Amino acid sequence: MSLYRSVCCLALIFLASVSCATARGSPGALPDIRPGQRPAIDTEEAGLWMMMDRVEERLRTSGRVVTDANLNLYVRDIVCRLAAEHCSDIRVYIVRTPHFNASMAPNGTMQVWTGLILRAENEAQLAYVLGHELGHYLRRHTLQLWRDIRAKGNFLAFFQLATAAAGFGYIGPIAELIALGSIYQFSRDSEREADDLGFELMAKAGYDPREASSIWEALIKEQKAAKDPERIIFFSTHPSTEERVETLKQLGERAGADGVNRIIGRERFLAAVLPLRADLLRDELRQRDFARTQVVLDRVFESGVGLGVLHFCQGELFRLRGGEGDERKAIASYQKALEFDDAPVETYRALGFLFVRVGNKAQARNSLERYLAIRPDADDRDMIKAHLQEMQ
Amino acid sequence: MKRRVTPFALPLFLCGCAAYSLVEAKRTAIGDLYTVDPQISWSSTSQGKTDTWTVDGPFLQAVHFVKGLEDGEVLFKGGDEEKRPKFKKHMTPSEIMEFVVDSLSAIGAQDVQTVNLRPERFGDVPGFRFEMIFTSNEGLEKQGLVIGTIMKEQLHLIIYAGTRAHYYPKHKEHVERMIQSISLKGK
Repeated sequence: MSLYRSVCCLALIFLASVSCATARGSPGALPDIRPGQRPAIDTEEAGLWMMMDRVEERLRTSGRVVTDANLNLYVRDIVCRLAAEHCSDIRVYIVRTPHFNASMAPNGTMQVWTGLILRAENEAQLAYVLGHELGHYLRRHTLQLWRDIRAKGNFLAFFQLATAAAGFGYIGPIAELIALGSIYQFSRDSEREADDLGFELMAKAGYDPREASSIWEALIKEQKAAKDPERIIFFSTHPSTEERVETLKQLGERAGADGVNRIIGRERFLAAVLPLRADLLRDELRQRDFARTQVVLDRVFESGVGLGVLHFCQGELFRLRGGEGDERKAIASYQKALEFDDAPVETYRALGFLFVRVGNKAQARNSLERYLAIRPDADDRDMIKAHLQEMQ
Repeated sequence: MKRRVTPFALPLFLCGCAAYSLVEAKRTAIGDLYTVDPQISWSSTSQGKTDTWTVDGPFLQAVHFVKGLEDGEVLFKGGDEEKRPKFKKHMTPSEIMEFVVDSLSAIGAQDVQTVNLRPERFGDVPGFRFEMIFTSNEGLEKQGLVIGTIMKEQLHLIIYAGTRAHYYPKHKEHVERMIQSISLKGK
């Protein structure tokens, strides 16, 4: 890690080290950021923005930013629905990282991680999380946080966090992303305020507020299944409590009790996300946290669409897990996938190799030949042909 | 959390400060299994089951010799190994390619794309080969080739990777000739 990056990381961690920011309405609270507002050059806020501009520059060229035009337009459109007046001040980056997270820097850089997109069920749920992050931005929570750090000289927390972050050292920029995420380790008051504002923004934009709590609930379920619950990054910066979910549920029920038809946006959401879902699930499988991934997969299955891809991914999970009886389960899942038109052609290849392993040569040959018949110019055709020859 | 990093992870994504020694341009043993003709002089470092050779620095280009990975072992030591892919002795070449790609992704490589998985002799035993491109953590485009075989249930790989612009092509021909020169010991 370069000196600049180290300094930058530590500065971010330092910023993240405070545990109490000033909530709106309390003495010393800042006014909301105005549309088009930039801090005066000689202010501490300008310094904060400058640092974030550098981080944004690194993010832009990191190779992690998803370039899919449709998805980018779609997410940007949601942000602009939620905060129309601030639309031109906000730059959205969809970041290819298989964890549930979103964050917003004071200079208008919004990060939306693909792990969040994979886990959301519809537009209203995504809008709630984005609204929550917009809440931190509009209320200038980062600047409040910075001022609190200076006021309290919370150096012990700084050193503790610096030590913890060093544990991520070998991963490199993911540590920066985490550190950047950690900047939003706001106080409970600020979190509550962002929750309220996120809720308000989504309701104003016409989304069904009853969806707000369900994405939180799903994440708690996932956390319980995870190999290492502490690695649920969003929860490391956003305190998760059953009480919070309950509050959102009650608010949602109250707001939704007026009988007005509100936007859930399931179809629009799926249209934007489905083309990328196989890749996002592949990223998820690479985590090798199979119990957690199973929870995610079960949730994605509930969408009821793209089932060929989903059964294939279920087969991949069993194959990669490789436990007792998993080969048979994987075969069953691949076979199920083939009942649907969207099953990837790789299903035949995976099935062929598993049939080889369980000693069913006839089925293995059949599957591998089918793979080559559908994709005669497959990139690995020579390898597959070599396998077929070996079987003879 | 463990923070020991192999020299293999370092050259791809970080800058390392391991101790290097000279590999002269004469036939050199890679572990106990085979020898190669290095074609040119390289700087070499070694940790665990991986030897790493480079000319211009491991960040720019490097050849990694993975010597006999056993069932259940990870490609990159250190960090959170629990979540890394593990080699299984029954893996097919397709699964080994997936193992390499997922291992690279786990240490931060982006958008690893592989092409042309095909059979290729590893010395005089059957093996496989594929090429790949990926983006480093810093957004730098990298290119690589992988050749490997499983012998006595152990995985042997030669991975050559470098920046797509200049440093990978610079020594690719040397690496190709080195691969052609693989001679298994005792044969």
